[in-house]
Amino acid sequence: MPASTSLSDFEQALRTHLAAAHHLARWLTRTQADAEDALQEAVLRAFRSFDRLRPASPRAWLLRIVRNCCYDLRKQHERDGETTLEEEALPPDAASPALGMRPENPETRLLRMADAQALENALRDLVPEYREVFLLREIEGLSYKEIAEVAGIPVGTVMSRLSRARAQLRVLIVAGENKETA
Amino acid sequence: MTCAEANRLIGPWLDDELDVRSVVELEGHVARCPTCGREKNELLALRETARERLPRFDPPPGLEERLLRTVREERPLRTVRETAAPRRRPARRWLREVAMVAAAAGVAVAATSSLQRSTDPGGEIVDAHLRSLQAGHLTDVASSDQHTVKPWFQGKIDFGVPVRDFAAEGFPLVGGRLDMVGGRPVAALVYGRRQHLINVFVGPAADRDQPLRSISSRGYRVSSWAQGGLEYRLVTDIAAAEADQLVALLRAA
Repeated sequence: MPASTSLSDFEQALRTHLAAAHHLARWLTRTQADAEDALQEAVLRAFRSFDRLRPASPRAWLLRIVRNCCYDLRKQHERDGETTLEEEALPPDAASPALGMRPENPETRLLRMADAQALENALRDLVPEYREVFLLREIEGLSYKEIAEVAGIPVGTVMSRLSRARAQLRVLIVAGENKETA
Repeated sequence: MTCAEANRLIGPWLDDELDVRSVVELEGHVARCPTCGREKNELLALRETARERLPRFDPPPGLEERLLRTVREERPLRTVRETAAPRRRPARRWLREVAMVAAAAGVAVAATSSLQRSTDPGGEIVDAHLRSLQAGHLTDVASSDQHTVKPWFQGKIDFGVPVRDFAAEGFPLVGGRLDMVGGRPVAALVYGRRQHLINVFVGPAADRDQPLRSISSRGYRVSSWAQGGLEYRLVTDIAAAEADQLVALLRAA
C-alpha cells in the first residue's frame, strides 16, 4: 500500500524534525500562536508534496517549507496592516553597522558571558534573513549547503549573511550589555 | 594572507566549511595576528553563548498530534477534490487503499457476523457498508458535486434521491452508487469524515414518515428514519455524536 506507507514515512519525518521545525518557526514568528499557524500550514504543504518529491534530506526540505510559511504569515500580517517590530528590508551590505568593527578583549568576555535575554533580544533585532542563517548554523548545525537549500539562496549568500548576522549580533549584544551596566 | 582575507574565512573555518589548504594558511595567520585571533575568539564565544544559553523553544505537548491529525484529515478532503477533477486515478487509488484497510479491520467483525445476522437488526445495513468498502465497490459515480451525483441516479432507480454535499459542515460528499439491501435496490450516498466513510442508503419507505432510531451493531452505528416517502439508513464507524450531526443535516435538508 504505497500511499499509507508514505503517510507513515511522512509521520516519521515529521516526528523526527518537529523540534527543529518548531524552534525555527518560533524564531521566525512573533508569537507561539503564529508559530503554530505557520507549522500547521507547513505540514499540509509538506504532506501534499511529500509523495511526489521524496526529499533526500527531509530535514532541510521540511525546514524550508516551515521557513516559507513563516514568511508568508509575516507578509500576511503586514498586508493586514499589523505593525511588525522588525525592520522592513535587508540593510544593504555597506550599511551594516557591524562591518569592520573590531571589538576589544572585554567584548569577547561580554559575548561569552552574555545572558540568555541579551542574546535573545539581539537575535530578535536581526532581520529574519540574518536570524535564520544564524539559527540554522549554530543551533540546528546545518551545513552551508543545507542552509542554502532551506533559505533558497546560493551558498555564497549563506556565507555573507552568516558573517553579517554574527557581526551584528556581536555589536547588539555588546551594546545591550553596556547599556545595562551603565 | 591579508587580514581582510583571513577575516572573511574565519567564520567558514569555524563552521568546517573551508578546504584543507586554506585552513592551514589561515591557522598560520591567526596564530601570528592578534586582531584575527580576537576575531576567532569572539566568534567562538558567540557560538558558545548561543548554544548554551539561547532559549530552546520545545514544541508544546500535543502539538505533534494536532499536526498529524491535520494531515490525516487532509486525506479524505484531498480525495474529494481530486475526484471532482478530471484526473481521477489518485483518488481511486486512495479510496481502494482506505477500503482495504477498512476491509482488513472488518474481517474479524465479518467472520462473526453470519452467526449474529438473524438476531441483528442493523446487520444487513452493516453488511452493505462493509461490502462497499471492498476494493472498487465504494462509488459508481465519484464526485463531490451534488449536481453530478443526483442526475446519475435518474433512470437507474424509480424514486428521486435528494443529494446534498456537506463539505462545509465537515462531511464532504464522496460519491454515490447503486446497491442492494434486503433484496431491494437502493441509492447509496457516500460521505467522508476525516479518514472515515459514511454510507447513507436511501430507498422507498413503507411508511411515509418514521421517527429516528439509532442502534449500534458490531461497532458500527446505524441510524434509520423515514421522511418524504423515503427510508434513510446511515451507517458508519465514526463517533455517535458526529454521526448524529450528519443525520441532523440530512433530516434538515
